Amino acid sequence: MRRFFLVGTLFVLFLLEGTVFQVFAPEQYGFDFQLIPRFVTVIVVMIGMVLSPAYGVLYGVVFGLLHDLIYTDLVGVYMFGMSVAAYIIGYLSKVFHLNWFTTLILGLLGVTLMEFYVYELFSLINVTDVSFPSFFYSRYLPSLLLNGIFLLIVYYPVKRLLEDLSESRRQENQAKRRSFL
Amino acid sequence: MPQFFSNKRLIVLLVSIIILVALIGTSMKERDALTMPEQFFKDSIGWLQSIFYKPANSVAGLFESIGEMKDMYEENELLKSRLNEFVAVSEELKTVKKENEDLKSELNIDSSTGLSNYQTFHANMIARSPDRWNDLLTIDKGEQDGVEADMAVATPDGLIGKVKNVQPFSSTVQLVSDVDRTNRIAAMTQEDKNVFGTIEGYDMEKEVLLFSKIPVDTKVEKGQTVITAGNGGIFPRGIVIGEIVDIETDNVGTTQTAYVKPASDLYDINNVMIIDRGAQNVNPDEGEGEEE
Repeated sequence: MRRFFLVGTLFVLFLLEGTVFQVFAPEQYGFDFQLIPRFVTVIVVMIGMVLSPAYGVLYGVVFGLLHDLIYTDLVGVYMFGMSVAAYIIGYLSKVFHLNWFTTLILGLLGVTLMEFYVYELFSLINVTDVSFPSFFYSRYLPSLLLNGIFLLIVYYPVKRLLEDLSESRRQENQAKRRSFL
Repeated sequence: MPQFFSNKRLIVLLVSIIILVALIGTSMKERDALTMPEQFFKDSIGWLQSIFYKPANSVAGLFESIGEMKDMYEENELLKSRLNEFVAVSEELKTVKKENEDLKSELNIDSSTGLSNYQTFHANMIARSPDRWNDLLTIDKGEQDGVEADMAVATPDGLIGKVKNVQPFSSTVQLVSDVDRTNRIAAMTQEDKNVFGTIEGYDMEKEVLLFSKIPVDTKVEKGQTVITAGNGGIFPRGIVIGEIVDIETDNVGTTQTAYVKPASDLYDINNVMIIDRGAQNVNPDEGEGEEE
C-alpha cells in the first residue's frame, strides 16, 4: 500500500514538472534565469539514501525512462543519469549520519551530478550549444535553489514514508525467513 | 564502502554505458514514426497531463487578466482610434483580393496551387519539456484530428515550430528554438525585393534565430519582417517568423547572417494553430478564405 503511495506521488510530481510548473515558469514573465524542476530526481535520490542504493536505481530507471519517453526524444539519457545519481548518493550517504542538513547537501549533490551529466552529454551530441558560464549562472544555480527548497518542504513526510517502507520490508523479510525455518 | 567498485559492479556499469550509447544512437536516427509502445505512453500520459495543465492555466490566466485590468482603459481608447483605420484597410484588402483573383483567372493560374494556400485548425498546449535542453511541446490534437508530421505550428503572432511526432490523440511540436540540424526553414524578407535565406538555428543566449545564407550583395535592414518562403516544402508562404534585429557578414564574406527575434513569445504559448498545407491537393475549393 505504502509502495503504491510512493509510486503515485512520484508520478504526480513527474506530471507537475511538465504541466503546472511550466505555466508558472519564470521565462513567461520575462525573467532571464531558468528554474528547472528536478522534483522526481530529488525523491529518487532520497530513496537511494533512506531505502537502499538498489531501490534508488530501480526507481531511477523507471522514472528516468518515463522522462525520456515523454519529454525528450532521446531514450536512455535520464534513465542512466537518474539511476547512477541515486546509486552514487546512496553509497555516499552511508558515510554520513542522515539528518535534514546532510540530506539536503547530498540531495543537491545528486541533482548537480545529473544536471552536469545531462549538460555535458547534450553538448557532446549537439542538442545544445549553451556556454558553460551561461549554463552555470542562469540555469544551474537558480534550479539548485528551487530544488533545495523543494527538498526541505518534502523532507519530513517523504522521510517518514520511506522509513515506514523500509521497516515493513524488514518485517516481511523476517517473516519470510521464519516461515522457511 | 569497500565494495563500491567491486568487479561485478564495474561490469554492470560498463554494460549499462554501452546500452546507453546504443539507445541514444538508435533514437537519434531520423525516424518516420514512433514505435507503438512510445505512442501509447505518450497518448495516455498526454491525457493525464491535460487534466493538470488546464486548471493551472486557467488560474494563471485569471491572475493575468486581473493584472491587465488596469491598462484596459488606455488600450480601449487606442483600439477605438485604430478601428476606423481597420475598416478602411479591410475594404482595401477586399478590392485587392478581388482584383488579384480576376488577374489570376485572366492569366489562367489555378489559385489553389499557390505557395501560400493553407488551412488552419486549433489545438491547445498540454505540456512542455521541463528541462530546457529539448524545446518540445505536447498538444491535444493528433492523427485522429488530421494532424500529420512536419505541419507548421503557429500562434496568432507568428510561427513557433513544426509537428515532430504524431500519436493518435496528441502530438509533439518541436519549437524553432530547439537546436537540431534538421530544424531548418526556408525564409524570406519582403520589402521592395524578395530576399531569400534559411533559418538555420537558434542562439539560446541571445534568444534570436539565425537567418543565414543571404547573398552578401542583397540589402537587408534592421526592423524588416521575416516570413516563411514556402519553397522548403513543409511550410506555406507568408507565416510571420520575426523581425531582424542585427546583421553580420560571415567569415568567408560571401553570405551574411541576420539575427531574427521571433514574433511570438516562445514561452507564453496557450493556443496554437496547426497549418495544413496538404489540403489543397485534395479539394481545390477549400483553403481559400482561410488565410489570415
